[in-house]
Amino acid sequence: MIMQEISKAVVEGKAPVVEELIKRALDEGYSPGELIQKGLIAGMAVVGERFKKNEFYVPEVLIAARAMKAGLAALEPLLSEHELEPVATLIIGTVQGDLHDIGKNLVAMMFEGAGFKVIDLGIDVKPSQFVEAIETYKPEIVALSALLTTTMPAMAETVDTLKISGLREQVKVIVGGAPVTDSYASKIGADGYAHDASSAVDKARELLEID
Amino acid sequence: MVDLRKKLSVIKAMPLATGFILAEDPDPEEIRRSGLKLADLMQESCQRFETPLAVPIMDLSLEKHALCALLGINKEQEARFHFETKPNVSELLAKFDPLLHCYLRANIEAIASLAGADHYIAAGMSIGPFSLMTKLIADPITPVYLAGMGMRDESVIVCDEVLALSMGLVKKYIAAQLDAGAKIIVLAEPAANMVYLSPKQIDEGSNVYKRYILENLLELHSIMKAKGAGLFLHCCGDLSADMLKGLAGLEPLVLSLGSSRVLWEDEEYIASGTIIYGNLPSKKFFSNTELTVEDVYTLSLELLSQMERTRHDFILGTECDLLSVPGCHQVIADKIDAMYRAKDNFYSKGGDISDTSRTLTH
Repeated sequence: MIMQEISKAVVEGKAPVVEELIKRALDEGYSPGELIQKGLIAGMAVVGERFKKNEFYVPEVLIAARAMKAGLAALEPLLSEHELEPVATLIIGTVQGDLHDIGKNLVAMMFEGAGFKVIDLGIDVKPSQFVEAIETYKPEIVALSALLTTTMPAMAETVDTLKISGLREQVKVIVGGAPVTDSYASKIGADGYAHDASSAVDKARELLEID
Repeated sequence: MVDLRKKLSVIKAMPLATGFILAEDPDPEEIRRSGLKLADLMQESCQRFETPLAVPIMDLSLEKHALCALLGINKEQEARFHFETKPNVSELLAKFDPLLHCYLRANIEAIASLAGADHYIAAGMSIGPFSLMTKLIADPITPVYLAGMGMRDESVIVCDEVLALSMGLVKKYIAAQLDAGAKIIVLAEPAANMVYLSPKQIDEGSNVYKRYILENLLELHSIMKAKGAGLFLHCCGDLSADMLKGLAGLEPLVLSLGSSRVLWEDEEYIASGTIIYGNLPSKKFFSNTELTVEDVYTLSLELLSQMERTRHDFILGTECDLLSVPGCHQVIADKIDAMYRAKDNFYSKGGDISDTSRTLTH
C-alpha cells in the first residue's frame, strides 16, 4: 500500500510527501532497493506512459522527477552497492554549438527514472568530450541532443569522431531533438532515434535488449 | 491603425527572412552593428520578398546579450549565464538604456531611418518577456508550475523577479523602437507554449498562462496602441487550444503561429481585425528529405485556398524566422521561391485552384 502511495506522490510531483512516505516506509522495514523499484521507479514509469499519451506534459515530468529525486536523496545514504547497480549507463549531452537543455534534461530524467545511471555532459558538448566520457564511464548508451537545424551536423561529427576513436562499436548511439528525424539518424550512422523523452528510454531498452 | 491594417492587408505572402539575407553577406557582423546598413538590409528584404513590411533580424538573443553586457558578463560566459538569486530589478532597469548597446542601437537607428519612407512599414522587434525570462534562469519550467500549484518557494520568487526584470527591459526596448518611428512591433514569445507551461495545469483551472504570459503581453500591446502602433505577435511553439485562444484574445494586428497549428481551424478563435500570418514548416526547409520543394508548393496552395474560404485576412508566410543552414542556403531559397510561385498561381486564378495547378510549374 505504501509503495502505491509513494508512486502516486511521484506522479503528482509532491516532493515533500514522497520524502515523508519514504521515511515512514523505512521505519516499517522496507528496504531502500524495494522503495526505489516499486515506489519511485514505478511512479516514473506511470509518468512516462502518461507523457507518451499526451496526458502529461513537460512540466508534469519535471515536477515528478523532482519528487523522485527528493525520494532518492532520502535513500541514498542507506543504499548498498548492490542496490545502486543501474540498469545500464547512459552518457547524454547537447551537441557542440547548441545551448538548449530542456529536451536533454527531460531525457536524462526519464532515464534516471527508469533506473539508468546518467552522466549528463551538459550543453555545447564537443565530440572530444563525448570520447573522454565514454573512456571514463564505459556507458552502454550515448544520447545526443540538438534543437537547431544549424547544430544537427555536430551530431554527425560526434558519431564520426566515435568511429575514428575506435569507440563506436562499444556503445549504442541514439539521437533526438526537434529537427531530428529517423532518417537523419540513419544517415549519420546512429543506432536509433526517439521523438520524445519517454520513447528514448524505450529505444534504449530495445537496443540493449533489456526487458 | 486603420491605415496600417489596410497597408498590411495587401501583403499576400512574405517570409520572415531578414536574417536569411544577412547570412548571404560576407560580413554580417558589420551590418548588425550599423543602423544604416541594417536599414539597407531590411529594404533589400522588402524588395526581394515584394513586401512593404520592413522587419529587423529576429535574433532573440540580443536582449539577453544587452543585459549581460550591463552585468559585465563576457560573451563566452553569456550563454550559460543564469540568475541563481533574485536580481535587483530597479537598479538594473535604471541602468539599462537600449541605445547604449550596439545591436539594439543599430535596430533602433534602422527603424528611424526607414520610418519616414512612405513605401515601407518600419517594424520593430523584441523578444517577449516570458521568453526572455526562460533564458535567464536555469530551470524556468518548475517554478512556473509550482507557482501554478499556489506554491511560493525561493525558485518561484527568483523566477517572478527575473520576469519583472525581463518585462522592464522589453518595455524600454519597445518604447525606444516606437520613439524611433516603428509602426508595428514584432513581439516574439515562442516560449509561451506547451513545453514551458502545462495545458493540464491550465485545464485544471490554474491562471498561470494569464499571469505569466497574457498580462504582460496585454500591457505591451497597450503601450503600442497608445503610440498608434500595431502588435505583430509571434509564437511558433506548440500551443494548446486554450493558449491559442488566450493569445488571439489579445487581438493583435497580426498573429503569427507555428506549423503545429491548423490555421483555418484556428481562425474561428481569432478576431476578424487580426491578420493571420503563417505557417509553412520553415524549420524543415533545409531538408529535401523532410520537405521537398513540391511539398512547399502544395502546402502553400492548401493554406491559401483554405484561408481564402475563411475570408479572414491572411499572409502566407513562414512559421518562424527563416534560418540559413550551412550548406543548405540554396535548398531553403528554392522553397521560398516555391511559396511565391504558389501565391502567384493562386492569385492569378482568382483563388480558383484546379487540380492541374496543384503541381509545381517551374
